[in-house]
Amino acid sequence: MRTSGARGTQLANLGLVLGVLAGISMAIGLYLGLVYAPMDAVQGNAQRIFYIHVPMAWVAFLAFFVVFVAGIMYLWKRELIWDQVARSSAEIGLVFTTLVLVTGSFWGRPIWGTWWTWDARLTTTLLLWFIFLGYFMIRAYAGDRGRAATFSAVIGIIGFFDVPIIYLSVNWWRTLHPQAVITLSGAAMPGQMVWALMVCLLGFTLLYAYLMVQKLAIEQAKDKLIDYQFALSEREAEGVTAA
Amino acid sequence: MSNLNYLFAAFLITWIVISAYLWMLGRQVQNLKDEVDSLTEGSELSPDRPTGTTSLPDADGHPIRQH
Repeated sequence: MRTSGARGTQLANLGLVLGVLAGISMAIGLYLGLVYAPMDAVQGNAQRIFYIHVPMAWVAFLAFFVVFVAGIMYLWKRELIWDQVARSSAEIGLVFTTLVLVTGSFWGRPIWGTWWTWDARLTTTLLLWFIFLGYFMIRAYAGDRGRAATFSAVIGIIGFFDVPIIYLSVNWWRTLHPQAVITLSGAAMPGQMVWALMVCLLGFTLLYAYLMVQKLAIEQAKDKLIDYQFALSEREAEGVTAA
Repeated sequence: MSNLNYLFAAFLITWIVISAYLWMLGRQVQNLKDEVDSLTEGSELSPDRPTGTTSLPDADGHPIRQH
């Protein structure tokens, strides 16, 4: 039978392995993206932002998918672990969505001549950012932990529906943003660029997994500490009453 | 057209934000440890009070046995 201490050690080891693997694959990915992959003939070096911009967008979408699934599970099972998973993933998703918007601006400025435009993909991505900012505002103002978990689960589920809209926006509307370069029918770019992108995607996915392990452990410890503080204050109150 | 400055800025901001986020997670862990320590000192877990088991939970919510 495994002890709780052994489980904690296993989680710490998993975090360490994920962190090391993420670091190695991201270092290789950066080398491939910055050195190995050829420079784009039209966009120049600005195109290399692609090797972090696309993987971060993927991680943000993955994070919000986890929020969506965990939100459904929380509303169904009412188990605290699902809320802990959802809020951990939502925070990571918000960080990466912020970076997607910022790196997109740095890519757009030299290519489109503007930092920002109310293009369909940019606007729907900004909307996603606001939805998950609202997710944390609701959590902060809900007060009671159960209410915060319920409200935020609903927002996380509804908010996720913006993700497929973002993905399909370049097909549904006429946009400045380029369309998908890798589809089921093949890749519309050289093989070296595809390799660089794939390794960066792997690196950022491992980084997400590493951050999830760390953040989930923190959220679980926070909840247990709150429970303990509550139990301690109740015991003290009982002691005062008995005295 | 090289646009190297935009590439540099985008990468720099990305790594600064990711590093800051990792640092923030580290701070949260440290704050939690400090809070557990302060509760341990202020409760029955204090070394001045001889106790067997306590209700302070470990990472999995089970009581920590004090020796």
